[in-house]
Amino acid sequence: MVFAALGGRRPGCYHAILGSLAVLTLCGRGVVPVSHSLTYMYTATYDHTGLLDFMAEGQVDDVLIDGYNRETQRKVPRQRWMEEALEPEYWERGSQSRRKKELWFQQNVEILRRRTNESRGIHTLQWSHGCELTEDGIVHGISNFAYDGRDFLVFDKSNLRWIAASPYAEVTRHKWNADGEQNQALQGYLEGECLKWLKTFLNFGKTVFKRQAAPQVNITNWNSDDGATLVLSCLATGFYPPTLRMTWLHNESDIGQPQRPPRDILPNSDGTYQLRATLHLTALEDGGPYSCRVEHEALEEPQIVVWDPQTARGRDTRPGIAVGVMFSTLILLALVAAAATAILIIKRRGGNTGSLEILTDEDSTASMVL
Amino acid sequence: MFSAKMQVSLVFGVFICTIGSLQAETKAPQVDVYTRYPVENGKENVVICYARRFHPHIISMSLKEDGKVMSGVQELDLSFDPDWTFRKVIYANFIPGDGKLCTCDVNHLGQEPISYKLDPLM
Repeated sequence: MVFAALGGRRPGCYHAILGSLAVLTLCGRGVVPVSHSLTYMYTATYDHTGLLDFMAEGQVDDVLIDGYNRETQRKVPRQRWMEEALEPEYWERGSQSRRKKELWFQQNVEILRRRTNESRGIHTLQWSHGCELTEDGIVHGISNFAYDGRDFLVFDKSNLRWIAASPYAEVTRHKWNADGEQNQALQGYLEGECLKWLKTFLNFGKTVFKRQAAPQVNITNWNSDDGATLVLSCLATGFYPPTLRMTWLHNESDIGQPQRPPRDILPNSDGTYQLRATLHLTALEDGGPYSCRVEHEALEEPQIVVWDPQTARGRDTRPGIAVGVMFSTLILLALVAAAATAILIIKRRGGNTGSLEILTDEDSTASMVL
Repeated sequence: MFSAKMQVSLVFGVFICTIGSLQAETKAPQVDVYTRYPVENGKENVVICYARRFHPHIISMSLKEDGKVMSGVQELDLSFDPDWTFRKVIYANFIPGDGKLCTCDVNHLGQEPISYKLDPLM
């Protein structure tokens, strides 16, 4: 049995070759549907002349709900259901709040610029702020800053203290930790107000967050340019939520190791997702079909699409056509049992880090100076 | 209370420890160009260009068909992941056809743009 870790930062990606029975399983896993998060993300870039750019966004699970940029200086809805559910006053107050944040960043990047004494180049200050509600009903508040893409200041919610992740953050850590009330208020927001808004947004967008869209599964085949390799590609597209398990099966013959690492779960333009897994075959042996097995929560049972070698032989490098045949449950179960499946899991995204945004009054954090 | 001397050595120690981490690190985008639906010649589809894991966020992306900028290109907001790297998606409707070449040109940090091809076979 050969296991190989695949993929970069997404843990748990393996493929397995089991004797004469080959199984490649890809499982993309996204935001766990029963756990939800509200995150506000702020990004400021600056150079020696000062602030170059500022933008801010709100996100619920994997969906951007609002946006703000320096040009318009308006907080605007990014989802129709947000626009429909909230009064103009909400967006007006939000715009004011974001403008204050922009000012905060403008002043604080100046402080940071002097502190780091960097004269050249473009630098970035990011803030991620919000709350996560786990499936066990536990609330996690998160408020972190990053400087040039690395952790800068991290809020330790258990001890209500800031942790400096950079020497440049030491001064800030001292200053902010001296104000216990401020940190208490922050914690109160993250686990109270933020959670309230998360639930509100989840309710506004319930048709989106609770929807289930089943994948459409197709197999494409082609020959490599030198004709030596037959490539099979299984595509599952249009699914939501972004958690899916894809398995290549070949009964009774060894397909050898897939030559390419599995890909990430990729976003579609319509809020759904897709995943592809490619199989490279140097020799096509008789003895059973190759098939792509897909499991997703919108499917009552796993879907198996069988690729028929007979229709593929003699094709050149143009795309072959997917021969999709749904197996009956019995055959499926037999296959699955025979396959002694090895499983790999890709995490598409870690749990969203959160961010805090006080929608009625964001001033508490804006008064804290780096 | 730290003595002045201790403070100096502490500051110096911190300085030594952080040399090498002070340089603003850039991360080049990882880019995929793909279609919403399986490619069938003559059938309406959507081509999607997805860049992620890049830093800082200064990026420009454009979709081209046979070298010409496609019309009706839409973009989803730039956002960042828990590891602070950014992601961005642009997309456009298109109809695949024989010999049509679809590319996504990505320019990160004002460097020479890199052209990524849509491989209809993938």
